[in-house]
Amino acid sequence: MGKKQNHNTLPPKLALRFLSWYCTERRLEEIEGDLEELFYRDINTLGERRAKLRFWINVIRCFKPYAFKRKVRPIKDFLSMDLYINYLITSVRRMKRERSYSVIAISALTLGLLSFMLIATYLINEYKFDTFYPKKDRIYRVVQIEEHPGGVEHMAMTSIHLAEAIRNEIPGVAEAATVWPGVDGWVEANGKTFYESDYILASENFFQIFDQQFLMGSDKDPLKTPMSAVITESLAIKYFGTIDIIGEIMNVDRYGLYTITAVIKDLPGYTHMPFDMVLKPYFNRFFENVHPVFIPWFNSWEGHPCATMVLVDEDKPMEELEATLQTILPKYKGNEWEVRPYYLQNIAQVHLNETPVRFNVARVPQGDKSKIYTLTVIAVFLLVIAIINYTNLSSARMTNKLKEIGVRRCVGARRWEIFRQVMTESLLITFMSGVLALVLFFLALPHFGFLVEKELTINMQVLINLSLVIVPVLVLTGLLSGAYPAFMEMKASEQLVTWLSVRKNDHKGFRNVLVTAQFMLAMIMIVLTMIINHQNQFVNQKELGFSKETTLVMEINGGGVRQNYDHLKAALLAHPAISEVSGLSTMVGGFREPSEIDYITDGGDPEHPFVGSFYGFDEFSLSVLDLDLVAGRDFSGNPIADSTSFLINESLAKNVYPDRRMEEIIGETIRINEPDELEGTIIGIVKDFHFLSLHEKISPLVIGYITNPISGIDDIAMKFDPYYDYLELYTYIDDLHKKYEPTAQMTLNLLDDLLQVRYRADRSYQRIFMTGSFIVMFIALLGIVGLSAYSAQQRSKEFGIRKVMGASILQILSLQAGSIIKLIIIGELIAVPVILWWGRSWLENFSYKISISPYLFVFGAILLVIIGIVSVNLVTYRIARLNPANTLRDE
Amino acid sequence: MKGKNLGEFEEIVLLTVGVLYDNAYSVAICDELQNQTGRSVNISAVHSALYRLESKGYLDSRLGEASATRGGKRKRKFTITSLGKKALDETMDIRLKLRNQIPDIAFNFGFDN
Repeated sequence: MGKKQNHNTLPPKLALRFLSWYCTERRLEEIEGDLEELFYRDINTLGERRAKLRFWINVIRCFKPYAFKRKVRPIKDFLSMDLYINYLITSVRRMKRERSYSVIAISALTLGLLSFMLIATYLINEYKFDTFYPKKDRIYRVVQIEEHPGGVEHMAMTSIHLAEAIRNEIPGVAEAATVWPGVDGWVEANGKTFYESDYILASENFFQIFDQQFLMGSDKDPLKTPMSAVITESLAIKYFGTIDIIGEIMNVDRYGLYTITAVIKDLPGYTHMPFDMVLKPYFNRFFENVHPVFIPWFNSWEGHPCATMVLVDEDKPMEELEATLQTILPKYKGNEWEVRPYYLQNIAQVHLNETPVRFNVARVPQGDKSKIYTLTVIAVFLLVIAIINYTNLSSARMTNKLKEIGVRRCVGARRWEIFRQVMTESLLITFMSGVLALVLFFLALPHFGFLVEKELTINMQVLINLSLVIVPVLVLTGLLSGAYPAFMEMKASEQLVTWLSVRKNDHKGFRNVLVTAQFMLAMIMIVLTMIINHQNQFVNQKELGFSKETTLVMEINGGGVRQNYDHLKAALLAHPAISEVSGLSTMVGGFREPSEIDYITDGGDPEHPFVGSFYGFDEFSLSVLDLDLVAGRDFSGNPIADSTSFLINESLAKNVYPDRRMEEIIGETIRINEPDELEGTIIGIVKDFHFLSLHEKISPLVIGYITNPISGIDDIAMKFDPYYDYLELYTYIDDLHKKYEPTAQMTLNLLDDLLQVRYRADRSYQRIFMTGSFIVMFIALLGIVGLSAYSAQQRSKEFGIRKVMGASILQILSLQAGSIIKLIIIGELIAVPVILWWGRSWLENFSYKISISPYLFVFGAILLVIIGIVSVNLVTYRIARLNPANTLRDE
Repeated sequence: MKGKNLGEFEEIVLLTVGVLYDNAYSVAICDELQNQTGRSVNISAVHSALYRLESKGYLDSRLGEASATRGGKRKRKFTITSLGKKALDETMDIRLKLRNQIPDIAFNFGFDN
């Protein structure tokens, strides 16, 4: 030592950096000094290479608790609580001082969180379908696969005898119950009459499969004796005002007198089988009450309108069960019919399933996956945009805080304490927004239910799941929105300059990126909403090819009307408001499917038939629906001649006889092979009309006379005078209906209404998108309002000087707006490909669709720019109009 | 306070600090240990012993002068506190007391069998 050191060689830089990374400031100098001293000594004795190596080793060996940064906090423990309280106090003070900023930040976060909560509730309601049954893992529904020319169809309709057969034949099945939907009708109880639709008929072991909470009566075989009923709490209150009603008698329309044996708690709304009353009829005498005609059908193994629910034993392999299940039909039904395979579907899979299954006991529609995806994306959009907002605003305000941070550092705050302080503030604001959102959540829930067209249930199960989602999201939102500002402030606090004076680095670049992202999202939402609006308008206004405003449709629900059709028709025509009446097999318009047929032309190959749809019309149908013929003639009204005549549509003519003029096709023969054999001559060609929904293309169609064997009369269409008193007309028709069908409820609708229902999902999308884009736009707006208010304040002196130098207010405004508009336009440009991709994939669903017009983009872009300019100018104007004498005098 | 008593290494470090008196800083201690006991000691072990002794109150420290040999960094110099002296004395006493109580016969290493 004491020698002149060779300072050309320095210790390895990386090792030094590592040391200063882990080592506390307090110890860094001495440890570094020690190590360097050893290093220089080693250079002389061992040489450079080994000295460096030993330096490295020493640095690594010093990586011990005594050198760590967090180690030394001598007074932390008793101060930290006070410190946090101080953080909260200063946060609250700041929020009060910068009130408009706080309002903007909190309301944007609240909106984002509120939307997220609502959507999460909807998603939970969808995903938790039928999961509240304790035995849900063992409950299965029997589904039958049916193949026909149109494709494969899954049906949950089974024979009423299947449950008993399954119980007797299949080992590994604990219970099997038949569930039959109740038909709308009146219920007489406690001397009053009520109209009910949500009730089911079930076999006696229903409650052994579907456990319920019993409030009154025993949970042991409440349905053991036939003609007993179990009702829910709310229904009991509605009928009797109390739940202590065991032994009371109800008279149920069509089904007779029932004794109440138990009262259960209400079911949550998220079930595919909602009910408020379960009846146990004499299944064997069930139909005798209704109509003797049905007895043979009832005794058969045909599909009855009922579901079979199965409770399987635990650990029983499903393949084995399903294999045994296939043996039942051949055994009982014999080989008179083709045997259709069964499979078992877990109850939790009933609702959200890619495969559409026809028939649901309570007509609860299957879940809509694409709606779920859309809503999830919107929820994430909203949350992201709100987080961006907060990040933006608080990083913009950072300059205001630097003095405070400087003082904190001077007094002894550590870097991480600055980080923690900013984080505390953002968590506080997120938490406040969360509480506010929660309050609004309960207020908004019913309206939101309308938006998604679903009544949402809030119970313990949903709330628990919701909080499992919301609490992490809240924390994450707080952390994410605080992360950037906290990090930047921590960084800034490292530099001595900031401790003493305000440094002018306000991270503009990062904020600009965020503003751009916000407006990109807003643009996506707005243009998509417009695309959806346009498409729906297009669908609504599209000429369907038949008249819908003046047509009434009556469904035929019973044999009475069918047998007495001629009498009924005469009576209907006697009414002054009804000008024409026609019987059809199925009403056109796509809300009910027509029959599918296989057919061949004269000399065609029976092995390769054409596929088409089939309707039965009578000689009045064309005129009731205002359908035009392009060639040939209508049915004559002579049943014998008409029964061998067909009308076809233009699509069929073009498909099957591509080279022939319309007139030449008249007189050709068509033979239908499936589902029944029927041959006829083409007597006329109907102008194309949209007999299916607008989601589908117009396909080939054969129209036979109504007496055909393929599909008989099922709907009655009437042309009526829309200016006539509709209520009077309705009562008149209802009375007529009662005369022929005393027990069934009449279903009479305006064709227009029925068609509206068909496009309900599309309109629901429209509403969801409209609301979503409104909120996204609003939050984005709040963001730029906050930002430009802040920046205008920062630049108030600059504005003052500019004004002194002769700038007009307008010039100052355009200065401010210009920078924002640039960002908006960039965001809009980025949005374009996303919109195109998304819009196109949505429009794929329609056969008749609009093309995405560039005007929509232009309109959306201009809308956002205008809104941007207006809001920026509003807040800037307040500052810009100030007298320079005042702004410049400040300080 | 937990761990009032001195470990063996701690005791030696504490003694060395006393020996070096005004020049007791980690590198010097390291060297002295090597010279006196012949065992090679890593600087990090000395650091941790010193800091532990300081936190126990047996050592006091101050930052000393900077020198070019250390790349211009100051060294931390340690001195024994009165508490440190007391602890050293106690340990020494216990050792001596115990040593003196060993009967001579215990050192009779069995030449007779």
